Formats: sequence, structure tokens, C-alpha cells
Amino acid sequence: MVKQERKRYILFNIINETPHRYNKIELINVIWNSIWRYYGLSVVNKMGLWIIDLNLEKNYGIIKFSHNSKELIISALSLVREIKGKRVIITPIKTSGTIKKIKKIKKEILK
Amino acid sequence: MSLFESRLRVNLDNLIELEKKLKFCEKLRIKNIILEPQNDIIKINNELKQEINDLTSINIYYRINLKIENLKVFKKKIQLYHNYPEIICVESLNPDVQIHAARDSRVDMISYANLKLTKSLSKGVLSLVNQNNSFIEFTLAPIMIENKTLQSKAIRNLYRAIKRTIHSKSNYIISGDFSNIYDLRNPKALISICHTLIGIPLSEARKAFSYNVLNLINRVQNRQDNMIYEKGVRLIKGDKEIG
Repeated sequence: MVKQERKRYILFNIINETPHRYNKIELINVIWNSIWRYYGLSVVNKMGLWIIDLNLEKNYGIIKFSHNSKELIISALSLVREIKGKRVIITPIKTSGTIKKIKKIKKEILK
Repeated sequence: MSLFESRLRVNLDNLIELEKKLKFCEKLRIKNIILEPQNDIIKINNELKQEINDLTSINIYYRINLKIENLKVFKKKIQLYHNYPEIICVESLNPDVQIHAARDSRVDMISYANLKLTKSLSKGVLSLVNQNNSFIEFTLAPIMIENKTLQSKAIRNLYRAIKRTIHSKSNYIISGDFSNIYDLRNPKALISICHTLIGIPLSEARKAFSYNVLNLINRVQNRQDNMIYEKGVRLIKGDKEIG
């Protein structure tokens, strides 16, 4: 019997050099580009990457992915350097196996 | 497990800029930092250290980096750092200086901070570092560039150098050494980068950011302790003289 794939969730924070506006799609494209640039097709198709929550005003987001690709996702997020020519840092805060727990952590951090 | 950013260059004369950098590190959730004064400081005052400690909640340690071109200068400069309370690191392209630094017990670490330096890592240095229980430092700064060709070269060089170091069983640490604060990353993220891009096993990468750095700091602290004779040998007070 095939085992069901386990999921992981990462809560990340976005630090901008200057206050500037970009939309959700631009941020997602930057993350995908980083994954493609450093790890390529063989890795991308196993990731199962989904953006669960993204708040560009409070600068945080939650993504969901396969548990095997945790290190890849963390490094791909960290290797993002700029969006629309402006420097940004996407820094992972916490990894969890359940959405409930990651939302609880998000609440505590955003208090 | 405490993770370290083992190299952050700072100007100790400008405390406002230093505070900004430290606050930024707090934002990135970095908990331990080793600061490297950019100015040619021979001794860091205790008052200045206290002042810096008051600026932040991060645990701060210090290191001195000696950039040396030839052996004569090395022999002259290293005399100033006898029984020194901070980490002493030597950075040189000259293979003779590297060998002498690896042999010298006053030197805690030999730094290979850029592409050229990483290429110059030799078997002799690795063996001497192993014998002397000192450390080798690699930095991830060459990786954080936009140019893909240079980036892949940097990754390849680091991969080769770190593999050789692991094979020789020498002690090594990995630091960020980023000059721009927007290149700074949390050590946890750097561990992931080392694991996925450079191919270092996860346990080894974690060691290079935590356990080995702690060992390096202990080495420096033990140097100040007169009762420690050498590694693993401690003189015990209060025992009666034998014979």
C-alpha cells in the first residue's frame, strides 16, 4: 500500500529594504524562480508547493509543501534576494506539521 | 542548540551603525554573533564590550582578523597577540604564512573567506590544523551573488574545500561574512543552504554552525585559564604533593 505523503507548513517573514508594493503573484513568481534556479525540474515536481496564507501588509506568509523538501524550501526562500529590483529577505520563522499549530504560532508572533 | 553567525564585520568607532546592524540581526532571530572589528584594533576595552552588550540581547563574542601578506609581517604581528582573550584568525594567500599560522598555537583559526583563498587550501594546512586542534573557516559570502557563473564556481570551490576538510577530519566552521546587511541570513537558513547546495550532510552542517563554534570559543577561554595545561589536562588545586 502506498503511504500518504506528509505535509509541512512554514511560517515566513518578509523584510523589505524600502517600503514598496508588490502583489501576491510577483512574490510567488520570485519564490518559484528561486526554486527553479537552484534545484530545477527534478525537485520542483516533488515539492507540492502551495501558498496557504500571505499578508503583504504585515509581511508574513504560510506555505505548504511535502515534508521531504523542507530543507530545499528553506534554502530557496533564503536565497531570494530581490523583488522588482528592491532588496528583500524572506526568512523562515517556524516549521510545523499541522496548519493549526502554525496558525497558533502566527497569532503569538503577530500579537 | 545555539547557532552562531561567526563573522560580522563592524566599525567599533560608530556605535549607531553597529546598533542598527545588531537590531537587524535581532529581526532575523540571530542569537549569537561573533563581531570582527574592521579597524586595526589590538585590544577591545571591557567598557566598550559592556556598552555593546547593553545595545542588544544577542550574545556577542569577538574575533580579530589578521590579513597578512608575508612571513616576516606574520612573525612580527603575532607577537602582539600572546595569550589574547579573543579569537585570532589569520587570512593569507601566501602558503608559507598559512603553514606557519596553522603551526602556531596562538592562532585559533585560518580563514578561507573568498574564492582565491578557498583554492589555496592545502593538505599541509589541514594536517597541521588537525594536530593543533585549531580551526578552518569557510564563508558563504561568495555564494550570495546574482551572477550565475560566478555563483556556481563559488559553490563548486566550497564543495571541494569542505569535502577535503571533512575527509581530513579537521575542525572547521562556516560563517556568513556578508558585508551588506540585506545578504545576512539566519544560521538555520544557512545550514539548509549548505546542505542542499553544497551537499554537506545535515549533521555536519549543524556542527559547523554550532558545536564547532562553541569549541572554538572554549579554546579561547581555556587559553585564559592558567590551570589548563593543554587540551584534556587540568591542574587541580588542593592536592598534596606526591613524593
